[in-house]
Amino acid sequence: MLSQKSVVFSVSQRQMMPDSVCIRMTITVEDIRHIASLARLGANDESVEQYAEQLNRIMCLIEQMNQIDTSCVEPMAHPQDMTLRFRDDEVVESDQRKVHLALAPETGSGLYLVPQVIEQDA
Amino acid sequence: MHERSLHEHAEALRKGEYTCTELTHHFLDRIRKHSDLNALITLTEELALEQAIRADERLARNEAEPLTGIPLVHKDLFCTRGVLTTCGSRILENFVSPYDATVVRQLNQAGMVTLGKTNMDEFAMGSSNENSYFGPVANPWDRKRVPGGSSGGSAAVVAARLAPVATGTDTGGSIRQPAAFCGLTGIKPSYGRISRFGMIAFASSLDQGGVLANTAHDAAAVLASMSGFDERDSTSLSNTVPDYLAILQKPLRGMKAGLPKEFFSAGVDPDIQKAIEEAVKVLEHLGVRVVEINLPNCNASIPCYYVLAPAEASSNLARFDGVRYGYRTTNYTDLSDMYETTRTEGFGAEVKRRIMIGTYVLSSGYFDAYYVKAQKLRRLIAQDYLQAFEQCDIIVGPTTPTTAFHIGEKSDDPVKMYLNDIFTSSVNLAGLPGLSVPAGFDRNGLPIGLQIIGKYLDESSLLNVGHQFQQHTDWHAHIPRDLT
Repeated sequence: MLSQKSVVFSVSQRQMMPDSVCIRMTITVEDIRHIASLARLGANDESVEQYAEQLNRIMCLIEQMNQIDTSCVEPMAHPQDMTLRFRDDEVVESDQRKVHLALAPETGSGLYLVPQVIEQDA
Repeated sequence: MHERSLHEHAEALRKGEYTCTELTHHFLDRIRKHSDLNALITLTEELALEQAIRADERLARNEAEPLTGIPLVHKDLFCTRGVLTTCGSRILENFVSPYDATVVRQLNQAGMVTLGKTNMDEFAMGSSNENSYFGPVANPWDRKRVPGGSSGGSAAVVAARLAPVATGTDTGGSIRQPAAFCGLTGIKPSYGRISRFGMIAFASSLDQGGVLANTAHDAAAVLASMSGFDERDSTSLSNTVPDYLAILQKPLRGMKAGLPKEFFSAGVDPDIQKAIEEAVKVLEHLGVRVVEINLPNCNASIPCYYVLAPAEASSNLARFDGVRYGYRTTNYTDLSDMYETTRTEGFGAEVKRRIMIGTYVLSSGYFDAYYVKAQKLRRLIAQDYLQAFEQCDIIVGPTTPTTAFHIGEKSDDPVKMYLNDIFTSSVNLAGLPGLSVPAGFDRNGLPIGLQIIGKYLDESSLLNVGHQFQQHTDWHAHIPRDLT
């Protein structure tokens, strides 16, 4: 548990992140490249460095979670203690294919078009 | 005309003092006159005048509801049929929604008039409105300062009296913090009270729509029309919605208010501290008993929130791929390059940062250490509130640790920016309702917000306390100097 003397609640950034609290693995530029590729975001050399610096600082803030013991606590996914509601399996929506396709950057023959993904036979 | 409250407008419209069309023109002119605030992304003049004519017809037929003919603006996160819906992002800069959000549909049916769509932090990620693709919004109290965020445009509109009321959304404080920064009454209802259908998702277990208004009375009227069950939102609750307006008049005598020790710590601006202490005295004068309470785990709400919200965002924002709607880059070699370049060009820096954090904390090897850990903390935070509410009916404290800061002051430092949510985000984690009401001004003449937190589904008590507080204070009646 947090000690009485804990200063994490203070608004001052220095106090929010005492150096001694932040003992963690550093996110490397290689990690950043991996995360960016999972997230389908581009990362050039310059932005990789910047992401690494910023994410490491943010993760220092996040690491403060470890000051609190949660060993016997059930995770909480949602504010409501209820099971998902089901509806009857009935058609309620009308066909709006044209309306939705009209929003797409590129369409053809009633389909969404994307760059070619399967190579054609020679 | 614009200085009147929503209720005064409703009364005047019914008496025929002016028509809804005249009222709509008045506010449209004001919006154009104060366009330097950059509070709106889209002005929906044609739609507004069309709705105004219909409202005038309803009024003439004596078929008007309480909100018929009242103009409003919607945060640009609510889908509006046939109207640009950008969410403050380049990736949706050309997105014209094919349907209305449930909230929009409900308020249309009530006869309200949509003046436009308000500026906001991109995908509601921010506390200053500086993260908008459409540029920052000025705070009407001091144009060099931020209006707060993410519902910054909505707050600036209502504070400048460019509309009597606005919708907003709140994931970690995005209604209450701008309400505090702009001297407004802002309510985030309990999770599940208002339908999320047609609200562009940021963090689905935290997002909730709400209202920014000049008084608790006005907020109550609009909230009543937005609340209720919606089969299109699987988390929407079927519980009966109380008559919020009837409850406003209830005397506060016998009510118990908890003061969390943790919300009155060092780090809160002394002017805010003083204003909140004064506000508590007003409540005591009204017969509210004050007890000290503890929320020991709320210290961890910021770290917990900045795991869960980005995790949910990284998943929600995966849908923006440049294939079905929105922006697509013109510069790509193959499909995967198209995805990547579209997203890199389409999202702003803060959104990308949060997608990166979210992806990291959900990635293999880190899921338990961060995501599950944060979910466990979420339960401890929610339990803190449950235990506190055994001793009191409402919890009061400051909405924010500081008043509105300067544009650019914190934009280079994400961690500093995140600390704006220090008193608000735990309320979203627990799913509780929260209200911010004006409670004074600091040494620079900037508004201060008093936060009132309620039990689950007890919006009534918050509005009741807010209204009674406003019957005995006049902080909510102040208008920025050059905007009267």
